[in-house]
Amino acid sequence: MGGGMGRLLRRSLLLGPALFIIGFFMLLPLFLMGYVSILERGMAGGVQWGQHTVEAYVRFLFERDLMDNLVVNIDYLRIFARSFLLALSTTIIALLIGLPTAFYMSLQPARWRNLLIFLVTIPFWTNLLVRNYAWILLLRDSGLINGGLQWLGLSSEPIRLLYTPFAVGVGLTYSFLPFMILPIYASLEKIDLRLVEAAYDLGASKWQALRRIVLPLAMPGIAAGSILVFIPSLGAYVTPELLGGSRQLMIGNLIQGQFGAARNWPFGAALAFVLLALVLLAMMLYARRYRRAPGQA
Amino acid sequence: MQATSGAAIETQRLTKIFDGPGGEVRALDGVDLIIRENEFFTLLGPSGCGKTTLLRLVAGFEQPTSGELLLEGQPMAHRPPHRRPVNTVFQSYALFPHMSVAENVAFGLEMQRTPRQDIKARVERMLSLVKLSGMGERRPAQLSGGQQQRVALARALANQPKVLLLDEPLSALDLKLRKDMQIELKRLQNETGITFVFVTHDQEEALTMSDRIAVMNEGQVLQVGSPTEIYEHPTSRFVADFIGETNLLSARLSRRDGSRAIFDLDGGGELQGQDDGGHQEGAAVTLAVRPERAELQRDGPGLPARVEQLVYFGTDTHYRLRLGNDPTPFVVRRQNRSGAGGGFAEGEEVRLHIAPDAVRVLQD
Amino acid sequence: MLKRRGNPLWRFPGVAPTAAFVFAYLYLPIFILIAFSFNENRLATIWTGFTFDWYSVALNNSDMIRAARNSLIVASSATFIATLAAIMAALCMTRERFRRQQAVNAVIALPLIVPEIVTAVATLLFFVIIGIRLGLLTVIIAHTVFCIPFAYLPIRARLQGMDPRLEEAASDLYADPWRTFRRITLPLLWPGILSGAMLAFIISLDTFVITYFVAGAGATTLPVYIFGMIRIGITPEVNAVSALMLLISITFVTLSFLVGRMRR
Ligand SMILES: Nc1ncnc2c1ncn2[C@@H]1O[C@H](COP(=O)(O)OP(=O)(O)O)[C@@H](O)[C@H]1O
Ligand SMILES: [Mg+2]
Repeated sequence: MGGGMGRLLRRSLLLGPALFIIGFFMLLPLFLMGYVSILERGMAGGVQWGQHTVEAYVRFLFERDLMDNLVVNIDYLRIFARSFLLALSTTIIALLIGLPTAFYMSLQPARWRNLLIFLVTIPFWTNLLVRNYAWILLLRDSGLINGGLQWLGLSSEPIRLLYTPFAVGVGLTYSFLPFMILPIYASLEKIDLRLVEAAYDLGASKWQALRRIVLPLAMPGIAAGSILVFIPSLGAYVTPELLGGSRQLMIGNLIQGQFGAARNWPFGAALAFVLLALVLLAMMLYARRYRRAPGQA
Repeated sequence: MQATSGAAIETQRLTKIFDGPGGEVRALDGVDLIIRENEFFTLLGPSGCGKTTLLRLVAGFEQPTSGELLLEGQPMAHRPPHRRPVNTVFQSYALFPHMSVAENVAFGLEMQRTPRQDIKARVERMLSLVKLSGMGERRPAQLSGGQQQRVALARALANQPKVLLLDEPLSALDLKLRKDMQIELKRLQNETGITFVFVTHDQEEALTMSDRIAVMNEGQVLQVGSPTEIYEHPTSRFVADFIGETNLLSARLSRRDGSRAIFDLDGGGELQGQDDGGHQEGAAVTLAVRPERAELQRDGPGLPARVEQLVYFGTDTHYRLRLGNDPTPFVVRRQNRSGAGGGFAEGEEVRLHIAPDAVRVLQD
Repeated sequence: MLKRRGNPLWRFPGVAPTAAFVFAYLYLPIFILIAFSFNENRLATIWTGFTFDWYSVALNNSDMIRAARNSLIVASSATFIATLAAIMAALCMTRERFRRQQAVNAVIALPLIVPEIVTAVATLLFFVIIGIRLGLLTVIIAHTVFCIPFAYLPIRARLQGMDPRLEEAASDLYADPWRTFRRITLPLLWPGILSGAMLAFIISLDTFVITYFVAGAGATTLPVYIFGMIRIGITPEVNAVSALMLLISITFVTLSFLVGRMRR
């Protein structure tokens, strides 16, 4: 209805608010952040406008000694590597326990299935901070796990669980596991079981049927789930802050530090920019293969 | 452009092209139609031939790619649906699920700002017209398929439109209900005098209900006429084949003899038919013969044939014959009259007798 | 689907135990937290008795009440704006076809893809550089941004599930576009809107990292306040406040879920 102009006007009016809010308050700030990362650091925090430098990126790998020479410094690289490894192990563990769970859910009768989906969804909507806090109650020296172990006589001293990479891994997996289960479930639910029964018919064993039919069909879900777990794990702040303590810093904590105590905005912006680049790279690799945004699974 | 008087709907070279994922789809291809006032007009054709598209253009849900559409002589280009004097009964009924039956029926009247009392009275009358009195408070979901169908009908008729568009309204109903509703629809059309444009892919439904039928295929109207004309005088191979069963014979016009034309069958033998004067001597033609218009005899004049197969249908029997060296079987239908006997056996050599007025010469 | 249940072909060793483990893993910490919030013992390691005291301590903490009020103000404002924007965008995206549609979808999904810490940094820099004072306003703006996709997705889903014939039927029955929207589209869209708004609301209530960055001194929200408390030490009062947060979220999700499932 209406001419081309009317339709264009209508479209702009309807899309305008959402695109303006996200464009002006998110997209623009992201570009601005990229720009800040190549500015000179201000004396007392902030930045010096018009003073361009790649210092923030140099600082990522080198530090200056007293003579102002560049000396390789792998402290930051180590934090990136740790974040990457933690995110990767989180993804793998979430896949290992999430896939059977999704498979189990997809085999349940319809009513029961909906309830299980709901149960998987709830933790996602509850406060991340609070859920991670709950793990402190379980993991600390006087916490429930150590208490249980001692009560069973399995250990006499508390085992150090909190503030270890283990604690961070448990917390990250706990935080993002629903993102793994739900997409895998969504792809498994669509599988026509007659295909599998046909495979049995052709003499396939259970495991062959699983490997040759169920897994390939679940692949899109597995890929979407992995990316949905990996990305927020890589940029996590709350979990390492609460469960990792000062010795298990991840990128998120490093970035936050630049805006708190360190007061080095360009460096913080550069770190955030690198993290964003990593995430977009992961997304692109994913999209190249699966041609959809993971949110649309 | 010239509007035809007495036409409820007129289309001129109406064309609709969709941009489908696999390229352009020519859903309507230069359709010229005149639908008269107060008639029961049927669009008949196989699924995908463009019937729904034509209705949607008339209702205003789609804009034509080219061509003209006139309602009551008025050009409709760019007139939105809510300002067209037509109402639609959708194939899926499209009843408003959040409104009661009465609210559904009242919707159009309310939009036209009819006074409240009048609306109430009209809704009552409509519900009784479609035999749903007392069901006004129910929700559509609480009704059976047949009842929903009648609500959709009442909702459209309540507005007393000039034209009622019905898109396969009976296709979701089971056979018994469909037969009842066919009679019901015909009655409603007679009582209200509204022009009905009825869409179906069921040729039997079209033949029994319509004043006139347009047979469509691949976006084009192939033939328009009364049920008898369409059935008895199909002009094309497609129409002959789509409407009822038909035997198609390839032949050549060999000579003329007064009002008769003599054809040489490609499979061997000669057949006499009425001369429509449309073909030159020696031209290749297709002949159509209805199975019930051919007769079988033990001997005498006629084409020699052999009974290949015999299929019993209760009221009648179908004989599949082999005619000369024609590879497709020729079907003859004979009524089974009690005690008439005279049946033929499989493998029997018979004579096929076809009266000249039973032979139709097709245009293509 | 074909007889999924009870088909022995479908029993793989280890699947059901893993699923049981996962559900325990997901819920055990939540239950423990709630249980501890009722524990009388201040040290919280041993159970000595049931009490509601910690809740009354928490609810009498005026700083916490102020933080909760801030949270509510932020969540309702952000939800309201985000839901309106989402409804309009969803109407356009489901009812029309145009070339840049994929790009528009990508922009709307952006807040879901970019890591929260990156958004937080970018937003903070932006506000500081353009010179808006950090406070409730900045928090509301930042929350509105990422509430939009959460409100948008259920609304769009509802619109996509809606039979387009219904709107056509209304226009066929002489309703102009506005009245078609008021009488048909909007009533049928309500469950989607409610569900989207509730999700946006919970997400806003829960969000910590971004708020932590862009909330100025007077704009502490509940999660930021709880974070501060946890930093200081683990007390039964934190348990009580946390348990309350959990219950509020779970209530809202359950409501949103039920509304979303409502038959047309
Ligand atoms: N919105 C559309 N987009 C693309 N192609 C369409 C659309 N609507 C109909 N078509 C195509 O147009 C042709 C005619 O469709 P339709 O009018 O629905 O046929 P009918 O009602 O006779 O079954 C079909 O090939 C169909 O696929
Ligand atoms: Mg159709």
